[in-house]
Amino acid sequence: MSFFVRGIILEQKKEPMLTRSTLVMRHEYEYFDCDFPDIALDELSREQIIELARLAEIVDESDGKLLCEKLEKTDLGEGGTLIIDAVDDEPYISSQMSGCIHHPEKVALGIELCEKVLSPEKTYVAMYKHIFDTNFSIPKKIGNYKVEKIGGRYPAEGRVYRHIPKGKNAVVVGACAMLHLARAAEDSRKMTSCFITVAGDAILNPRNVEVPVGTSVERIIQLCGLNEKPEVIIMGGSMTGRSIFEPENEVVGPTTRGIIALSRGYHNPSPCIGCGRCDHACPKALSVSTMRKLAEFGDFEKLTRYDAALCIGCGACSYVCPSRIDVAATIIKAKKQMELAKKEGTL
Amino acid sequence: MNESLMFQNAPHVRQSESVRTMMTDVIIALVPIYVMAFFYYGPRALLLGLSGILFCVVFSAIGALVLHEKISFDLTPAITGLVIPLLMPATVDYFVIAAACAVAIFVVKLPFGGTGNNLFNPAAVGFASAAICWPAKVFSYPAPLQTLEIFGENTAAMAQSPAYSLALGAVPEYEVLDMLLGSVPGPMGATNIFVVATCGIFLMVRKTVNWITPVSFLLPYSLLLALFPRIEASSFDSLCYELFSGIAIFGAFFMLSEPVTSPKRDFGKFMAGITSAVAAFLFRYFGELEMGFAYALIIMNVFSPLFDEICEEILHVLRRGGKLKKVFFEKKPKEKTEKEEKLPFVRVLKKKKAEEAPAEAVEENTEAEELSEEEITEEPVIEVSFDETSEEEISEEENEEQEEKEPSEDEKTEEEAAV
Amino acid sequence: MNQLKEKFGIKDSLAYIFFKNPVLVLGLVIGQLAAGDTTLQNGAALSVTYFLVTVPVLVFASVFGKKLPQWLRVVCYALVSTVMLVPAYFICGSFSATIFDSLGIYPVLLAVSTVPIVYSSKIAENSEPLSALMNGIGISLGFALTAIILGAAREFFGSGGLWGFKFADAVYPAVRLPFWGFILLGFMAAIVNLISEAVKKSEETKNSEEGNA
Repeated sequence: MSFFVRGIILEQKKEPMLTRSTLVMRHEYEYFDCDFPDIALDELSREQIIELARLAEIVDESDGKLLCEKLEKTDLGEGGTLIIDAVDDEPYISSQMSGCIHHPEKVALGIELCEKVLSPEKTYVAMYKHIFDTNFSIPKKIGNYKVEKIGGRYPAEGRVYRHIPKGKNAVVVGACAMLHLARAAEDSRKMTSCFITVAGDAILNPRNVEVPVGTSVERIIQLCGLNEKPEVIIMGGSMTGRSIFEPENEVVGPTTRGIIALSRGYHNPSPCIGCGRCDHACPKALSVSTMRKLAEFGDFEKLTRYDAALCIGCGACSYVCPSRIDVAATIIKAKKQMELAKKEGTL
Repeated sequence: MNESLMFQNAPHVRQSESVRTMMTDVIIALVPIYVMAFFYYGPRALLLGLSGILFCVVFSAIGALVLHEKISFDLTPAITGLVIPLLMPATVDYFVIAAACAVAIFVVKLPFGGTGNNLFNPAAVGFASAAICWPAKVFSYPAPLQTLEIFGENTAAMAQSPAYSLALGAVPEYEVLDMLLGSVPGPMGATNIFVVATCGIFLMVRKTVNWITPVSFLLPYSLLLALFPRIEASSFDSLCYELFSGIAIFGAFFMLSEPVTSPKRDFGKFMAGITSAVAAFLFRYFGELEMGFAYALIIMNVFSPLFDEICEEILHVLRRGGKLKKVFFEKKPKEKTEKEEKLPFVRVLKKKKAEEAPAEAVEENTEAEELSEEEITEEPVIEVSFDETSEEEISEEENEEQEEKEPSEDEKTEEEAAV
Repeated sequence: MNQLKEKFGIKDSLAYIFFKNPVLVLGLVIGQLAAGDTTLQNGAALSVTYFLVTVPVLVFASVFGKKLPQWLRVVCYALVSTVMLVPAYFICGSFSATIFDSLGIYPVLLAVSTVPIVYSSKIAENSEPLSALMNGIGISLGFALTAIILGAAREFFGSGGLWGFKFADAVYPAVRLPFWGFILLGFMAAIVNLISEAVKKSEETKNSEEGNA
C-alpha cells in the first residue's frame, strides 16, 4: 500500500565501479613506531588496540570521528551489537562496499580487533541490497561475519538498526576504518589514504580509487580520465554532495565518499504542477509541496507547524520532481534560516 | 577544465520522468479516443480537436504577450484544447469550442497565475460555461456512424442520448454492449467506454495519473447509482445505463485526476474522490442538466486545499507517534486553550494507531527517534534503545498525560479564583 | 480655491471615484454587484439606491453622531439608511416599474453594507458635515461608475441590448451569471490597478526630475 511505503526506488548505477578492482594511486606510505612491535595479533590487549588506532590516526569515514576515541568511549553493556557500516544507498557510490568485497580478510581482521575492544554479543556487516541494475550478488559473509542486507527504498541508513535485539545498545563503525585498523596492526601503517568512488557519465574509466588524503579533485579525475567536458562536478554522494567550481583547489578528506562528473546538469525548472509526488516520496511523511511554497514565501511560523525541523535532507523530493525544482534545497535553506531565527529569538 | 562548471543543488541524479513526458502521456492516451470519434463521426471530429488545440495555444500565447512573459512551449494548453471538444457533440460549432477555450485560458488559467496555479480545472469550467450559454448546441447529439459535414449547416440526423432519456425517467433503448462500444449518441469522446477505460488504465500504469483519484471516485459513484436508481429497472441495469451514459468515466481519468487542482496527499485524494462522487450523484439525481459531473468537479476543486489541510493535521499527529505530550504541552501558553480543545480528538487517533497501525509504520517511527537521537548526542557512541515505542509504553505515556493534564486544570481554576 | 478644496477634503473625495474606487480598489459590496447588476437599468437603480442610502447617513453621523450614546449609534445609522430605501423605491420606479422587484434583496443589502454602517461610525462621526457630504458623494459616484459600466457590459454581451432595448442577439448569455460578475469585476480591478500604478510611476519620475533640477 502506498500509504505506508515511503521513500524512493533509485537506479543504483553502481556498475562497473563495484566489480572492478580498486585503483591505488602510488604514494609513499607512512609508518609509526609502536612500543609493542613483536606481539602476535591474537594477543593484543584492549588498550594496545586503541593505542594502535590512535597512532595510525584512523578516522571513521561513516561519521568523521576518530576511531580511537570512539572505541575508548563506547560502552555497549550486555548484549550490545557492533554494526559495520557498508550501506551505500546513494547511486554511483560504492566505496565502502568495494572495500569490503575486495579486501575481505583485512576487513575481517579489523572487525576481530574491534570486537576485542568492544566485546559485543553480535556483529554484522550492513549492506544495501536493492541493486537491481547489476548481476552482482552481495557476499553472505565477510570473513566469519554475517552480512545483513538492508533493503527498502532510498533513505536506508536509518534501517541499519533493524536487526538489533530490543533494549540493547549498538555502535556503528565504517568498513574502511576496519580496513585501516587491520593495516595498522599488521604493517604499522598510518592511515594516509581514503577510498573514493569516481563515477559519472563524463568519466572515461569509472572505478573505485584509493588516494592519499589531500589529493586534489582535479588530480583524481585525471587519474580516471574524462571522455567529455563535464558540466557539473560533485564532491560527496550523488544525493547529498555539493557541486564544486574549482576542482584544482578542492581536496578530498577521509569522509569523502565519491567524486562524480556529469556531462549535463539540470537546467530551467518549469513551474510546479502540484502533482504531489514529493509528498508521496518523503520518508518522513511531510507535506513537502506546501512546505516549499511556505519556504519560498518565508513564512517560518507556519513552517514550524508543518514540521520542517523533521526534514532529514535526503533529497528524495527533488529526485522525483517532474518539474526539476530544487525542492530539498529550498526547504533545507529555510530550515537553516529558521534555526538561526530561533537562536536569535525572533521566531 | 575548470571553466564553465555549473552550480547545482543537492540531489544530482533525477528521475527521467518530467512534466513533458507526463503531458505527452496524456496526449498519447487521448489519441485513440479521437480515432474512435473519427470512426463514428468522420473528419469533423479530428478537425474539432485540432481547432481546440489551436485556440488554446494561440490564446495562451496572446496571454503571455499581454503579460510580457516569455512564450513557453508548455503542453498543458494543448491538453485543455484536446479535452474540451471530447466533452461536446461532434456537431458543435467551432465558435462554441473557441468560446470554451477562451474561458478556459483567459478566465481560469491566466488570471490565477498560469500553469500550476489555476484554482479550477480549465477544461471543466470552459465546458460548463459553454453548456450554460448554448445548451441547445452542446446537448443535442448526432446519431453515430454517419459522416458529418466539415463546415456549414448541420444536416446530420439527431438522436436522443441515453443520459437525456434517463433524466426523463425512461429506460434508454440501447443495449449495454452498444454503450460500451460507443455506438450511441452522446459526447464525442465519452461514449466509447472501452477505449476510454483502456486509455485511463494506460495512464495509471504509467503513473502519470495517480490510481487513487479515479478509483475513489468511480467506486462510491457506482455504489450510489446502484443504490438509488432513477429508472424502473434492476439496480445492475440501472447502474450500467447511468455509469456509461455521462462523461463520468472520461472525466475521472482525464479531468478529475489533473494534478494542479486535485489534492496533493494520498488521503486527500481519497476524500476528493468521494466528495466529487457524492456531488456528481446529487447533480445527476436532482439536477436538470445532463452533465452534472463538470459542476461536481468544480465544487471538488474548491475544497481540495482544505482536504490537504485536514491530511496535514492528521499526519502532524501521526508523525509524533508516542511523543504527543511534548507537542501539545510544551508550546506557547497563548494557544493553550486551542490545544486542550483538540486533545480528545488526538487521543482517539493515537489509540487507533497503537491498535491498528501495521508493524511497518511503527517501525518507521522508531527510526525517526533513532535518527533524532543520533543527531543530538555529541559523544561518538551511537546508542540506541528500543523500549520507547512498544505499545505498553504508549499507553503508559497516555496515563501520564492524563495525570499531567489534571493538575494543569487545577492550576487554571486556582488562577481564575485568584483573578 | 486650493484652501477651500483642502478644507472640505474635495481632493480626497474625488479620489473615491477612481483611484480609491469603493468596489474595485477597496473591495466593498462586491457580492451585491456581481449578483444583482446584470443590466444597465439594474446598475442605474443600484447606483441611485446607494447614493440615497450612503450620503444622508454620513451627514447624519457627522451632525448627530457624537450626541447619541455609543450603543444607539449603529442602530440609528441602519434605521436612517433603511428609511432612505423608500424614496429610492419611488425614484427607481419612475424609469422601470418592476426594477425593485427584479433586484430582490440586493438594494436592502446595500442599505446595511459597510459604508452606511461601519464607515459612518468610524470616520464620518469625527469629520465635519460638509466633508462627510463630499466623501459620501465621492463614494457613491465611484460606485455608480462601476455599477453602470458593469451593468452595461453585461447587458450588451449577455442579452444584446442596452436599457431594455434589444438590437442584437445575445453574444454570450453566461455573463449574466454571478460567477461572471465576479470575474468581470476582477478584470476591472486589474485595469484600475494597472492605470493607477502607471500614474504613480509617472508622478514619481516627475518628482525625481524636479528634484534633480
